[in-house]
Amino acid sequence: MNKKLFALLSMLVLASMLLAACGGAAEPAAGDKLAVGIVLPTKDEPRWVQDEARFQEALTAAGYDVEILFSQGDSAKEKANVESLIANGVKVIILTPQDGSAAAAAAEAAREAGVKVIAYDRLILDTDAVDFYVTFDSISVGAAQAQYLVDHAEGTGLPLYLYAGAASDNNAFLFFEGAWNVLQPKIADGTFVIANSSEAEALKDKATLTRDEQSAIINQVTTNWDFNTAKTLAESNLTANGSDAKGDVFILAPNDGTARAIADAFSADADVTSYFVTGQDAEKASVQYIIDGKQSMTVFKDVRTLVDDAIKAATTFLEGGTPESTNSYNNGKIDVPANPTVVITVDKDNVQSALIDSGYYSASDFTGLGESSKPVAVAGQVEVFSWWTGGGEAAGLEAMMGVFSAQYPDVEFINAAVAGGAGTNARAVLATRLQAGDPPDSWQGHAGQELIGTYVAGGQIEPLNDLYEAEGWLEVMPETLIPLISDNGNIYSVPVNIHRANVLWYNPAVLEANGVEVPTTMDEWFAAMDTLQAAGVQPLALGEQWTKMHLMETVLLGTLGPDAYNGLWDGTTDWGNPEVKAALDNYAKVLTYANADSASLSWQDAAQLVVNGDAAFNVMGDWAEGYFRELGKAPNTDYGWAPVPGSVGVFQFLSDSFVLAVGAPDPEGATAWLKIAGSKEGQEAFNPVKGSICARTDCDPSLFGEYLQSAMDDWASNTVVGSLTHGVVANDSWKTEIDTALGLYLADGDVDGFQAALVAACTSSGPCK
Amino acid sequence: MVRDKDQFLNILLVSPSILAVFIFVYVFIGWSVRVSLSKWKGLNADYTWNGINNYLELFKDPRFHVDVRNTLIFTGVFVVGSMVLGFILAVMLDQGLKGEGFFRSLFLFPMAISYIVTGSVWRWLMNPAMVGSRVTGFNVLFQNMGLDFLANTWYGTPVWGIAAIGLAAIWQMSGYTMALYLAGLRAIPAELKEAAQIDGANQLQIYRYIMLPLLSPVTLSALIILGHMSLKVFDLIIAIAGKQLPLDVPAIYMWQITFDGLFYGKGAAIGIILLVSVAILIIPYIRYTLKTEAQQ
Repeated sequence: MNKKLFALLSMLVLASMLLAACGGAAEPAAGDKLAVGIVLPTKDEPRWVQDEARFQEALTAAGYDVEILFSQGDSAKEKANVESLIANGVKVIILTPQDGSAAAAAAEAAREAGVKVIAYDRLILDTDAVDFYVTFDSISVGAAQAQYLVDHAEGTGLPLYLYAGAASDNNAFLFFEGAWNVLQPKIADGTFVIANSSEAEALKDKATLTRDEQSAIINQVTTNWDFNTAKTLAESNLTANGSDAKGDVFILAPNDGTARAIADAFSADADVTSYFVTGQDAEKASVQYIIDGKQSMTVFKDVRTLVDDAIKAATTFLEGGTPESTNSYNNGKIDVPANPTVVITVDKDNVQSALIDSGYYSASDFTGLGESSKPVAVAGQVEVFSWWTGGGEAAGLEAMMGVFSAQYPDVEFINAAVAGGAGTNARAVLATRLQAGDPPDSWQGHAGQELIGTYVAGGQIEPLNDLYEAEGWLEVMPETLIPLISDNGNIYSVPVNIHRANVLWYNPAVLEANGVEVPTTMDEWFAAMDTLQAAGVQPLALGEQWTKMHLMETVLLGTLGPDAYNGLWDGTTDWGNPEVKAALDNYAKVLTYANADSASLSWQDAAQLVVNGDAAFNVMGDWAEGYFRELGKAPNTDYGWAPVPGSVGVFQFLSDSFVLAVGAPDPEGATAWLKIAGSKEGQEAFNPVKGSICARTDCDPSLFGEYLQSAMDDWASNTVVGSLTHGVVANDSWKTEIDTALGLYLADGDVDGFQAALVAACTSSGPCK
Repeated sequence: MVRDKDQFLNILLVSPSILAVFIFVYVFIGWSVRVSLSKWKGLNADYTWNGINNYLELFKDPRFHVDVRNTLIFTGVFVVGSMVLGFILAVMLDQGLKGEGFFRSLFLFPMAISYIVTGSVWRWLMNPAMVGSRVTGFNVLFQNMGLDFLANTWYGTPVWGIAAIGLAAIWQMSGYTMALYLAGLRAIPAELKEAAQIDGANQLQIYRYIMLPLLSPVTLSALIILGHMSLKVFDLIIAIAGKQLPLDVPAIYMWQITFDGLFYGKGAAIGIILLVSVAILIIPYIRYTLKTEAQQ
């Protein structure tokens, strides 16, 4: 039956060829006619599905029609597929056999039909009907593994552990052969001492091994390609050996799965101080092991290159040529010509370039990726733009630069700080540079909407979610912080320090002398200030216009509470509602307790009134504490602190943070800088000097003073909300409009007009519609 | 022929300057006009046509009203003050007193200082504090002299605070006005004065009817120079009082709305309004000067 069918088919094919021949030169060689047929083993393994797509795309692009069929693990189906392709008139068949020997018949059918057969990745055995073999060179894989061990060997008498694949797999022999070729001279000269195979030890002076000799060794050290077998074998080897065969050891492991199992066993042994272990296939889990330093290398066989090589061979056949071969493989009957595809050794140093940059894996598949490439990869320079030019800020920046240079000695740090105007000048300079397309690598900005509204809206900064995940920052920063520094789920800056805005500073002696308790609610505060005013004490010290905005935001928070306060900024709280009116009335009332000459006082002047005993209260961010210390004042005696009344349990924060510029001249340097800015070391260097707390919650409290320690406790436990004046909750345009509305209100005292202007500002530049 | 060649060479030699002025002055003015007619808000340029809406919004903007009011008050105080004081100083120096050179330098000296330095000094002198330990400058002086009624809140005064800034500007620029007038006075031939004296005019009449009319070109120059300076005032206010709305002027508003608020369109509109108001002052003056030069 079968033979009849064959004959029929052959006749048909012959007839069609004759017809084609009669058609003469009019018949095009390729293009509109099916030219290449491909038979792959199964659709159930993602690798073959990926190959299908790659073949389809590449051949179509090359101008050939292609049909791709799957054998689904069935050799009979495979043969039927081949026959159907022949019937469809293909000129070349690329075949990955399900079973090397069983595929011989299909290959022969093709040969009879005059179709060229390319064995792809697996050799078709026991037939002469194979025209070409596209493969990775298994011997070179073993050689690459061995070479890696040799390259890292220093000294003599180093313990060498050999492991192999399954003795039933021809590839296992080829891998071992390749490894032996490289290792044997180094075993013979005493560099390595074989620690787990008496058979290998006995053959150590023999450069070329027979199949039987290989077999003897492999049977002693086989993993059967099995994770558990590998682990058990490694453990029993370690148990059998004394500590003289341990210390710094070298391990030949045949592939990634066994490498991880063996590595786990070796790292658990106390006598093993270090190990080099090889692998193969660049499996995701092993790439992570390499990044983490638990596996030394893997041999990467880029399947994409293999596809390219198969297509090259196929097109050469279609054009009537013969593919170039550098090698041949015996399939039991003939030597099949081949041009093995190059394999790549991947270790910690080139994992980024070989696997990530080439697009094989994406960086987000792994953690700690950047760190692994750090020691060799990062050089160059990083320009960091800030307005930290004096005082604790500049000193803190210096300290953090010190940490940076220690970790990245090859990166030149360019401190592009611009003085003046609490950042106003710097921001104008930055705006000009950005418009000129000349961004610094990274710049300072208040975390939150000030950055997001300006630079994200302008497409000037990159999201940093990957960096946050890779560095584990999400675990060490407060959960309620992240939404405040994010936009559409993307985090855009690395906060270096945290300041608290809602701090009520008071003079303990003045309060005590007048019998006033520290207020915790607005009403208590008003009562306290009435008492103080009646006693002839200035109740509240206030400074220039921005400190009035600062006071306003804390009173809004204290009156509305954190939820409604947050709602002001995301559009869920109506600025026109009676609660906001009540808050503004409270603000108006608070202002009546303030000094008349506020317009001429800086924040320092105003804060100083409290520690000097000239006023009882001052609302200012906690940078005031650094100023008090500069004045030689002592916490809890010269000054006390509490949350602004009504905001107990809420931490209204602001933060200086750094961003990654879109089009940064040196993105690697910039990323390195951001890593330092977000690291424990970096933040612990910066913050004690600057007088702020870490954005991370895991900094060492003993580095900080009494006030800052209490702020650290609150930071880790309180509800976090953002500051308006300092750029967290509103974008620059909105803030400027609020500032104008506030200025007009301070001049005319019209609360209703003020509220109307705030409603208008939210519509004009905020989220309100 | 030779004349033509010279002409060509002349034009060739000045052409780089003409080109530079054209690009860096007139092209940028044109660009600013275009921006002021756009909806540009935010860091990225957006030239969406917005007509004259930015201007209309400004004319409705209560803050811009404050700016205009402040500019008018400041200009009035500063220009009148500088010219009156400058004229008086010039007349006094013109009396041929001993050490004239010394006094001339002394009065001119403030002009050599930057507005920032002037501002820092006057910030202290005009400290609005009236009581307590932080009273400084004039208010202390007045208290010690028993002139308590003169102590005031200076630039902290609602509405008229900007006039206090004008005082600092007068201090800085009256010496310059004096120099202008002094040069003008020296240029008047002595015969005219003598003739008037012979005709029986007293000193006051001589100044009122002889000198002042002859000084009118100087007065015009001083008016223009001081006037356009006052329209552009920025640094002096920032140095004395920082950015606060009661002392706001167009230049500060322009700075803040553009670089803090990123309203580039509106900021450009303020810039153009400033340019036009200065031009209204300057252009007739330039035409007048050119005409006089041509007549000479």
